[in-house]
Amino acid sequence: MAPEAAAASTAGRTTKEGVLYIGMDLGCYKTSVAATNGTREVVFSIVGWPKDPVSRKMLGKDIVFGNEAFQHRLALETVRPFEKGALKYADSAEAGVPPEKLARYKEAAKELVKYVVSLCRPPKGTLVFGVIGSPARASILNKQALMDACKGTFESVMIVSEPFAVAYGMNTLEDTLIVDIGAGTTDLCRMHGAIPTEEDQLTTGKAGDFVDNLAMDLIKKAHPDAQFTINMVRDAKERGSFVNDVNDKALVTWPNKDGKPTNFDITKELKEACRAIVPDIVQGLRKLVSSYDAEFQRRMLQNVVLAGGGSQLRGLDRLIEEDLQQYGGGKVTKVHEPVFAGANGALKLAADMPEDYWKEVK
Amino acid sequence: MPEDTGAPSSPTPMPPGPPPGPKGGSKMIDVQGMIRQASRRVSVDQLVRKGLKTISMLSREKIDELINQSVKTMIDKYRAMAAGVVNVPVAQIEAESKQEFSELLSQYQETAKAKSDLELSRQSLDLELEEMRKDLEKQKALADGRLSEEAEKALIVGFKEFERELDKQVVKVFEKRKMILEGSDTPEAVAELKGVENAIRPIISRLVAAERERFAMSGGQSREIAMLEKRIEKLYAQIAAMENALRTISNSKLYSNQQIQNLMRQLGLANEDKNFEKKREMLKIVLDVNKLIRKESKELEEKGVTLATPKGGGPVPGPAAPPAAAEPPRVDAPPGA
Repeated sequence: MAPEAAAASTAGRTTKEGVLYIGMDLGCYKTSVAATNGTREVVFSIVGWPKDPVSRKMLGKDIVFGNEAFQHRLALETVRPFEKGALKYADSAEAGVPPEKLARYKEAAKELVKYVVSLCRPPKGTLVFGVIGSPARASILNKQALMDACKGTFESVMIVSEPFAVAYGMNTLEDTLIVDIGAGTTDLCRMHGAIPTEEDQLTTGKAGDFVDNLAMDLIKKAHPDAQFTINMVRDAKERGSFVNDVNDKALVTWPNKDGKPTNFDITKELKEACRAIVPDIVQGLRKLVSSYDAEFQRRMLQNVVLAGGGSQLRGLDRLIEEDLQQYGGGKVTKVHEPVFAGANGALKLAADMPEDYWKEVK
Repeated sequence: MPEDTGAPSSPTPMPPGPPPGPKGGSKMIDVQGMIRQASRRVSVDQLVRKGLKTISMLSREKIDELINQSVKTMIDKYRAMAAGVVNVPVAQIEAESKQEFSELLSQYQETAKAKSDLELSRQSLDLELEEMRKDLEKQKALADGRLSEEAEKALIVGFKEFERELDKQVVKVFEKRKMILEGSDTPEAVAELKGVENAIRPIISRLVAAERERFAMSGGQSREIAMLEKRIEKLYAQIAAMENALRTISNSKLYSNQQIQNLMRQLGLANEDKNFEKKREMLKIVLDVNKLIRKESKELEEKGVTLATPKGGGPVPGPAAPPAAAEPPRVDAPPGA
């Protein structure tokens, strides 16, 4: 056995030829995927069907996905299958999905999964095994919905909690607090060397989408003359979001009431909106730490890891650290690849999974 | 002994009553005799006809050693328990011996696999080394001017063509000049030109030959040779380490697993993951949780509980499905999922 082969060998098994392992993080807003053949992609979690024959002809496709669907959303009937936690962690009523549209959401989810797997280009005849991340507190029905979405695309699929996938990927399985800030949910998970139980995990609804909506409301109030959409706010947030007190300015050029491009300073509103998710995170951390073994609380506070798209908010780590001072201080770090952390961990899980296990959940 | 045909999958149960006396020094059971009685002979041809291409071998001596070792361990254990020996049921001793044997067998198989992997790796390294040796020889020959036949040919063909072309051009130039001089009615000039041509052409030819030699001796190749030599040195060192490890593994007792692990670690073959065991356990739990999700969601579906109707009462699939539960079932995830 060559050293490289030994390195590839994990948990007692080497990757076999003819099998493609995929790790997927099906996010409310973006879906990231990583595969053993080296593919790493991130796409918008959006599926679109042409509205009429004209748009069909223009697009030249019956169904459009991801970034292309996002670009041409005006010509499409778009569905974000996991929007507001639909399918993923909420029932239809909670997610605001009318029962008659649920089938469409499920179809969109299935098509999106198929598309994302196709981006990995599995050779014909290859077995595709996958691990999918789901929110920490998703119900059985939600998990089943995710499995249904994968049916027909994967030979076999397993579901794991997203923060657990992140921790597994980083090999930090002991005395670590994972905070996975996505678009729809913020998942907190306490890792103590064993599979996290219900008591070890928390999910809050205050995440990326919440920040966008709050920022939109605040900007509307502060700049009633500005014309903008939620996507423009999201774009501005992604480019210049921060929660700490720095001299950076978030300046945007949006049309005013007359359609004339105008500069608006949205620094204050963006900062306020971004900061709004912090109290819930800190509260969640407090809860998870205070209910942990007293001897290990200190160690756990020194290992708070931020993951997910929301962790890219500049200064969030420092803000949480400041708040943790009252508990004797803590150390907050960010994962290297916030967008791929979940998918990477899921891929690692998939690759480590013994082959027999896949047969048991076919 | 082929595993597929004769290797025992479980140890032979100990007969009740006093165990047979030791045979041949430390032997506690006549395992060889037992294997002879219990096994059946199969010819290699028969196995090949069955489509078996590779056969794992486990020698009688090794089985003998494993069983004796496992029984010895058990007896030592119970001897240590002193007076308690008579109270230990035979079934327990059998079960523990069986477990001990299985553990020893798996350890032995792992060690044997590591050995075969190392052997394969060594062979491939040998091959690579051999190729590099040949390559180095070739490079050295090139540098020394002792070109191999093929290289010589390739080099000469290239330069010969160039030489011929050059010679053709020279002849053409002299021909033109000759035609001009012939028109001017000066035969001495034509003769002189012929003489110049005869002198110039060998000079050009010599120049080309010198250039060819210079090309062959160009300095770029010596650097390559140095690099190749360094690589070979490294490979020699690696092979030596591997052979050393292989020798130690071959000579080691089965129980010195730690020693084997240390050697494997030195060679970069051991799994260094500190969470290796934990991960293995976690993966098992992930599997169990996923099986549970499937089972529970099936039950919920039968009760008509779906995402659209989380409180139940939805369309029940299939005519034989039971009625929806009176109380809304719990749809929370099982822990850890």
